[in-house]
Amino acid sequence: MKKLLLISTITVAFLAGCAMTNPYASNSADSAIANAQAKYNKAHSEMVAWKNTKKILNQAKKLAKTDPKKATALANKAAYQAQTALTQSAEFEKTWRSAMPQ
Amino acid sequence: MLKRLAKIAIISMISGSIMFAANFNAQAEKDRHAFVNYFLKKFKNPVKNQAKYFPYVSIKEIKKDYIYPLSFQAFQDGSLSWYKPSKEQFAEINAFPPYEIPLDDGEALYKKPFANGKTYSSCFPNPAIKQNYPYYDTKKDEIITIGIAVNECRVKNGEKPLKYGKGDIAKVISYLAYKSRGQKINIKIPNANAAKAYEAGKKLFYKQRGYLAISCNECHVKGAGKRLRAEALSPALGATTQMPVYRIKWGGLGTLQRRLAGCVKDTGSEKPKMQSKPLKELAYFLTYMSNGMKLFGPDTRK
Repeated sequence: MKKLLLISTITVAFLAGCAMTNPYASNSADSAIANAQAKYNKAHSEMVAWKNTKKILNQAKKLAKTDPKKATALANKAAYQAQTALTQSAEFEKTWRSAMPQ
Repeated sequence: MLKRLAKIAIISMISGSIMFAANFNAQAEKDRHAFVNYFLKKFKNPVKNQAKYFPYVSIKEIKKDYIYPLSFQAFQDGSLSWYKPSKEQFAEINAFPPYEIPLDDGEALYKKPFANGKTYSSCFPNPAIKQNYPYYDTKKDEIITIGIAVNECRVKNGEKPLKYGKGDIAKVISYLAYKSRGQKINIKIPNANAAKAYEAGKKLFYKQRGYLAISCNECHVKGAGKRLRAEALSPALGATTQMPVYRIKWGGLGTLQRRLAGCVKDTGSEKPKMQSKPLKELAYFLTYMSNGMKLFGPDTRK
């Protein structure tokens, strides 16, 4: 019973950790902002950036010194959005022609 | 002999360039035919084609609220072309068209002398020109929209350019559009770079984008003839004929660029800048799709 409880706890902790981890996340506010900025710049230059990403990134920049924890979270959110925009753009690049009337 | 050879060379050069030129719009023409046929087929008999094109609309609603079959020219009316309740509502609104006052302002601006004494007519002696815009300027190697042409005219006459999208520029364009009513859209693809610009516009139209992952195509080709809650989705065919448009939502006139930028933003994407390259390419593609359709701008929309 103890063994089962231990395994369940480890599994739940592992799954929760996976769910909360953003693969594009950085730990410190400055590096998170730099990372998000680079991804946003790429998405913006390819004309695929989402409409709130820049706003979120700017909020992160504003909070970098006063609230680095929140700034990091916001920058990671911006980085995630920019990366998702780039990934979806690469996917849609393969399929958009099939949407045309034949 | 030498003269004869030179003559042959010149003739073959000219005929070669004509043949080459004719190819620049070959793909665009193919696209346009497929595009137009899609809409004509879709709205020929919506009751019969309900399962294919309007799966979420009941036969009862189609019979009650849809207008069909639609001719090519009918698509100039946007969503009013197929949706009876909107058509009736806007017929009443247009009894006293809300665009009339800004249109009068546009005429006054067109005729008002610049500081140098000249007017817009020094650039556009015949104001019926909208059917040719946007066009690809082969010397500048870029797309020239009617907004750019208006501002170029101002700068040429020592005036400051107007802000794009709304306000005075929309008023001047609305006057040019009004004078161009009945003219058929005539967009050309003169060279390889113009064809590239057309292709870029096409991609922007069909490729999904934004956090909603939708494209212009989803709403205005596939979605045309359906409703999004109370909104009747308008067909992309003929969408540029009614521009600039007085939108009730805006409470004023807006240009095609303004409308397109808003549409791109609605997908959850960053709003493109007015007269940016992608927006001009999108306008170039979209206007080409309505080639041959008579203009009827300005008009009123929701």
